[in-house]
Amino acid sequence: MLKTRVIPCLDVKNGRIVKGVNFVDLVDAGDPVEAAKAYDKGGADELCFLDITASHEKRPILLDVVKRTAEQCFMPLTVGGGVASVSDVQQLLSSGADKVSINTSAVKTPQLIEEASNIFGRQCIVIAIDAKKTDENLWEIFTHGGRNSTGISAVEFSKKVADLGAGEILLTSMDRDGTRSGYDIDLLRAVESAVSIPVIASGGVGCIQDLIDGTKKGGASAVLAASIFHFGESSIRDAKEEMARAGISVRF
Amino acid sequence: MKNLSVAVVDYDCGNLHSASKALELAMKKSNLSGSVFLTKDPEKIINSDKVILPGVGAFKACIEKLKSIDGLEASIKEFALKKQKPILGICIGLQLMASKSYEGGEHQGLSLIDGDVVPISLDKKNLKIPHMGWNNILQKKKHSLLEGLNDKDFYFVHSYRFKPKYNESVLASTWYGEDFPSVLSLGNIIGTQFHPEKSQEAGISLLKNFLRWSP
Repeated sequence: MLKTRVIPCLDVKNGRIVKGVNFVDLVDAGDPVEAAKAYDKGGADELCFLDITASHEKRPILLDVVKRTAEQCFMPLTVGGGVASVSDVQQLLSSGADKVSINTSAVKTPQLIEEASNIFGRQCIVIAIDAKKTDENLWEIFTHGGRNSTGISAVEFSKKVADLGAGEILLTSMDRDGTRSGYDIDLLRAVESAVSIPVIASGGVGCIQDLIDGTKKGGASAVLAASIFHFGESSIRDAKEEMARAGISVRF
Repeated sequence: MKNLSVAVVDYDCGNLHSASKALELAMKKSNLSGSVFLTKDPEKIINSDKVILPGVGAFKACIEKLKSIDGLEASIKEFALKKQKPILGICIGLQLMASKSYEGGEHQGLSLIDGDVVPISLDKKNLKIPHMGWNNILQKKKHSLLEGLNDKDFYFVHSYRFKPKYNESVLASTWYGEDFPSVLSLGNIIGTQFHPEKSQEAGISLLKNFLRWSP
């Protein structure tokens, strides 16, 4: 039986983790490579790296971090941030990323999705969607880290990217992100039921119950969180044990 | 003890470094001595002790790339069929071993294991495609490759699956809307639909078993 994936997410800026990781045994808490190693040992199902600086000058730092991380961890690695062309995708994949997440460029130039999935296969193309509720049952996509509104419906856009060749959707609720009040379940359900590709829930996790709700109520194939894992409030193992008790199939 | 030489076939299809890193770790953990190398040189492939055929991506793109490299296809066939030495196909590498694939048209494979590559049952409405994530394998036949690995979870990511001509080639199967073959073999030829190199401890154990295996 397919298991629900638990995915810790590292926000990386200039090669350093921004939100901070608070593990006991970590030599350097800001080093994404050290954090990746710890999560690999801790039983994470995948790892997500988002380069929030995302400018091309910083790209070599990210590539180096991706390379060093890939050498250390034996689980799938998704990398995103500023991916705007086929050659960006190529560079990240050849540095050791298994999947590449595309955000702003997916909205600006949707044909990039088609192009990249034809070349590299849809399994490695993740489309990151940042959505905010702007009306009753309307979630609008925002780009450039949430600054630019687009007028595009997240649900409609999800269908479009799935048709273009996306392998997976990483869905972040901007209303919930950083609030620790749980995923936006209505948004999750709306997107999940509109597409036949897997959806990763993101944004708003404050406790393990939120991961359970994202799976059972939201229908997510995978649950992503940052703070609750980084600050050692919950280990991956704790999360999975509670999820299993709630009847969710997870990997130990 | 003899040095083990393990060739990872390099045909520009996906993340080959993760496969060789995982094999190096498996070799170290097995206390075996030898080398793991990426190569597209037919001579080196024929003369190695074990071959890995990795890969990610679409069937058509991968088989075309493989066939475009001079002598590569012939060297894989000589290694597997004539010399009958151990070869492991991973994900699309397993699918390339089939007679034919129906992904994006109809394409000839390497015909190392009789069978076709077909879509995962698309009629099941609630099934997410690709089949992506960790899923367990159920062993169907005793085999040293799967020693200690029955019911373990491995990392899958695929939209098509191997449909063997003969049931005897199925070593293990996995449930995803239907029971599909996740590990196949024919004598010295073996393949996994999942990615052992991305499957943490269970994956490294499988690679260790492969390195120790002498069919």
